Amino acid sequence: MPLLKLDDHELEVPKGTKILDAALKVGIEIPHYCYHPALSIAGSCRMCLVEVEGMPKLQTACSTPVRELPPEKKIDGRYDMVVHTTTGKVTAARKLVLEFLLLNHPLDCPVCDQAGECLLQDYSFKYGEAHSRFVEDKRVQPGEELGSGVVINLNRCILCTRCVRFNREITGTGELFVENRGYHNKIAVFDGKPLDNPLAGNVADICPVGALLLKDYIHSTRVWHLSHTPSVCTECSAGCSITVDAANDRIYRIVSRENEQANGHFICDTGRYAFHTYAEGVLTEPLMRAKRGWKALSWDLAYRTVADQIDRHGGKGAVRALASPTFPNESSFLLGQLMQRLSDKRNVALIPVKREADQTFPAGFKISGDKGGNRRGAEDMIGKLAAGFKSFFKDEEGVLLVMDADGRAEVTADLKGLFESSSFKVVLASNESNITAMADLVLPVAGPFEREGTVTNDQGLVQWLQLALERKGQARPAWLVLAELDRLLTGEASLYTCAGDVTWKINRAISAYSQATRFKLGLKGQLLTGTG
Amino acid sequence: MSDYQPILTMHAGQPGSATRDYYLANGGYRAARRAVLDMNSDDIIQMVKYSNLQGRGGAGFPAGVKWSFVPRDDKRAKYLICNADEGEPGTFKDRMLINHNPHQLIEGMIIASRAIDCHLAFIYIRGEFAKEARLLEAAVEECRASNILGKKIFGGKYDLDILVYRGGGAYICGEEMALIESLEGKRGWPRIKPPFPAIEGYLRCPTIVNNVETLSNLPHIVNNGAEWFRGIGASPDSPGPKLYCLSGHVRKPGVYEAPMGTKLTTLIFTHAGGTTEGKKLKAAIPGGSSAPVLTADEIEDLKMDFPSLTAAGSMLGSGGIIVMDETTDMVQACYNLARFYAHESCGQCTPCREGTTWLTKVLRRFTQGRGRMEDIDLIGDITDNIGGLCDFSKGSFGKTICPFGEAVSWPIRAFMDKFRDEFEAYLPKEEAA
Amino acid sequence: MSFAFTADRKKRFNALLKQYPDKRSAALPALHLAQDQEGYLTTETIETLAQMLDITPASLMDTISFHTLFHTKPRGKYLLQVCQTLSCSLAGADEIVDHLSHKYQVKAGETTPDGKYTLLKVECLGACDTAPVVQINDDYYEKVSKDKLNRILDKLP
Repeated sequence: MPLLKLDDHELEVPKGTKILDAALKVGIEIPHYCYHPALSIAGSCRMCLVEVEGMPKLQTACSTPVRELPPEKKIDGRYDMVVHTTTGKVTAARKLVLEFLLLNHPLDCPVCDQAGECLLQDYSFKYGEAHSRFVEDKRVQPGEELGSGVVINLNRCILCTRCVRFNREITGTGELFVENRGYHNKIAVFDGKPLDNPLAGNVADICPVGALLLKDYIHSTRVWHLSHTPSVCTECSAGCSITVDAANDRIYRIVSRENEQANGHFICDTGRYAFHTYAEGVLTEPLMRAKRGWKALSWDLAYRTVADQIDRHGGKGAVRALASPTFPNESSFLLGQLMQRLSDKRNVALIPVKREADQTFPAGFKISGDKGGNRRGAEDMIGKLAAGFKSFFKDEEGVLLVMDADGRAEVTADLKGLFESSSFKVVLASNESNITAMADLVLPVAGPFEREGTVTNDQGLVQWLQLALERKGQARPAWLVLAELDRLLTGEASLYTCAGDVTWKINRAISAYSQATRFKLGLKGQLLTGTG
Repeated sequence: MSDYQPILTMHAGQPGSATRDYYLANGGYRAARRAVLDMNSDDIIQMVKYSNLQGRGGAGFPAGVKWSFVPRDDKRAKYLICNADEGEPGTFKDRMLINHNPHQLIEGMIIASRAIDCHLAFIYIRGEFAKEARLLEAAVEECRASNILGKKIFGGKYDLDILVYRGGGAYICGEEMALIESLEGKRGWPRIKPPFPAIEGYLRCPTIVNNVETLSNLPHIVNNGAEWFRGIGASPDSPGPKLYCLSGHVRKPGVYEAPMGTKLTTLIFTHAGGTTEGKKLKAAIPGGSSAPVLTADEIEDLKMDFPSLTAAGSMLGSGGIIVMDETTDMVQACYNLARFYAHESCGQCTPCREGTTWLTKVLRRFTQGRGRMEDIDLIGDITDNIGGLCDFSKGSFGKTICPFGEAVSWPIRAFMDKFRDEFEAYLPKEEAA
Repeated sequence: MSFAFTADRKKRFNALLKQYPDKRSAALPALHLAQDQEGYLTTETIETLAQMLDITPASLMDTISFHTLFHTKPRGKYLLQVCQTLSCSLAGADEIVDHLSHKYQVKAGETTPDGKYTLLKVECLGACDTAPVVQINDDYYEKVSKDKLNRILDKLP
């Protein structure tokens, strides 16, 4: 492998590796705009110019491959390529590119949503000049709506074309294009053909400046007020890594978090905007069905009600349960444990959740049609069921214990039958849904962004779901509710103090999960033992 | 005038010179027939390499060497593209060659195609040349009808067709990578090199792009030999006939064929009849508008070939000579060129997209008498920042993907440096003091 | 306002598709063919052509808007394109523009109210030896003077 000297670093990289990729590997910052690891090389912003020994012109680090020299030609007897990123020539070149980029820029950072996470701002601060030599009239163009909730501020655009390449290469939909020529170049959509694809929101994430913005987020807060929680999207079984940006216990936006083993660099718009649905119909206290509507009750009374109803309707052996493919493994695991202790019958299944066809995009990005985001994990926890619950659930009396599927449960005829035959229905849910509507008792549990625990995607990648918001009202984590029910009903004295304690138990109880420990998961997750 | 007998333009002005029958009656297609039936790829490449034929489009890269970069034993199709996207201000030789002798070009293309094993070649002609495109199409049709193009041409085993492709109006498409993109039906944004087109060009296949004049030389090299070609002009390193385009303040503007290395003063004063109304010569742009302007003093004894012009701090480029007499306002001329380049910048690279328009705005302000002393240095800085320092001894230092950055920077810089007094004279009184 | 090639042009378009090694390469020839027929390229025309070439309208618009010879707005019957680059400028192109501007009472870039003439300032037309040059639609008129241009324009149908 060629030996590259990059400033003071020496590293061996495969021949053809681009200088910029090599620099990223060793943590040398080479500023760049048009380069994006998931997109083709444009080489047009000219920000990543570096000095390569033996080449008279500065070279773009994003496009220049590391070469291999024959032994007799090695530089200093050993190097195949020597690259400098901090020489006077390089810093001068960065300065001038920034000057050009800022000529027509409105310099409106105080009102710009990108401020605080803007590469134009950051690089100008690090490498630029404080004053401008430009005294001419600036190019001024009105902003435009591009579709799918994306707006463009053309005056801030630096024409890096990341967005155009994204729509051509990743989604294959090609709505965005560069219109006109030269100084008049602008990002545009064709008349009557707006940005319209399920991944559209990503263009705002990848825009390095404040040009592409989401209407959903624009002017709502400043990025420095946001806390960034690394978490996982559970809207489908692809299990994308995300960052939840919140402030004052409110989510402002969700952005993609790079994870090569999961989603790569992007997320879909369903996952991006899903948080809004969980702000509606939030359940904050245990509710009992009354003659008219619902009656609130305390957790103590709620738990006792469950125990009473079990005694009244066939006892522990008649309890049946539905686990949820949208909740973390910890809840499903504890539900499974509880149900085993209640009876040795097969008494737990999965609640049915919508399934559509998978959507796979040209570059390989997949939106799973399985909206049970943690189906694989849930099945691992309670044991895989061959043919739904009809085959082993008879139309019998008894208490039904149900974990909701965050509004995505499908009320099939079978499910309806099960609910109708059951004597008393207890539903654990965070929000009002088609399932809580059929409940006799609703136990409020933590919502999707209030949960902690592990989730397993359809590729067998286990990731840590981190709570980004406080639970609302009296809602409790589902794993805690199940542990408390277990103690009440079976006297099981487990001492779980947090979701992580349950994870530890899973690591020991299920061999495929033995390596998926809280510590090993880190930010990128861990493949199940025996996968990948 | 010398006793030089024109080669490329020997039939110019003859009635019917654009027809196949005229061309055949005057020995046309003998060279192509030979290349197809009696020569192989190596023979042709060796011959053209030895001839030292340099590309006539502007860069002067040896044609035979370029061809030799095309990979052998490569399953991909190979393509030849004739670059007839003539748009460099001051240049109009390709149009003349096409109008007077399209078959000489087609013959050259057959030879070059044979050299690189190409079976489908293109003539990318600038869109404005609608008449010339029709003429070429008619010429190609004549060839198809007589087995000069098509299947098994000249009765041999070699197939070749040529398509005439009209551009859409963009100077940058004269740059080979932009041309290829445009030919693929995309915007003419130059691609990053490497890979060079000989390795990955049109549809990612090996592609050679040659200028009209370059290709038109080939029949003569095949007919008369490389040695003969090397003997034309002042130096065997940069030999051959050359078409010089004279425009601007000359009595008889036009295309003149003369040997490589003919003196610029000879071209201006003998061929083109001197300056209009005999006014004093102030300056000349020697190789199309991208070539740095030369003052009357610098022109003395200057030979028009690739090495001599590089040594003089300019370039032979396309051979488009724009002559400016003493009445010329150099600030206006400089602004005119800056505006041209701003209009033609493709806008892909930051420095060129932003810088060309900045230059134009500053220069426009100058011409309106609103210049500032500091703008003079600013203009110099902007040009350096787009195209790099205009220092030929150190090679080019452009900061853009394609050579357009240099092409705009060098001439503007030269105007500024050489006619600084005229720029200063444009300053408002309070600034000049 | 849907778009379709005339029978003759449809034949030529189909021939193009056969000649070029890939469909998209036929874009510029197809655009010339369509514009020649329609005068300018409407949204519908672009959509139809894009479909025939198997690309998105956005992609085709990208190409169209880059090249100056393609027009997406109506233009006059006669497109008066005056070259203004250096050699033509040295030969008095500015006066030609002023003359036409005065003659038809339009500024560069505008069309006369009767839709007959569009005046455009264009960059180098590549005929510097016969400066100043005016291109009217496809045809070059070279070494023009005000009088010569008047005579040419008066003869146009």
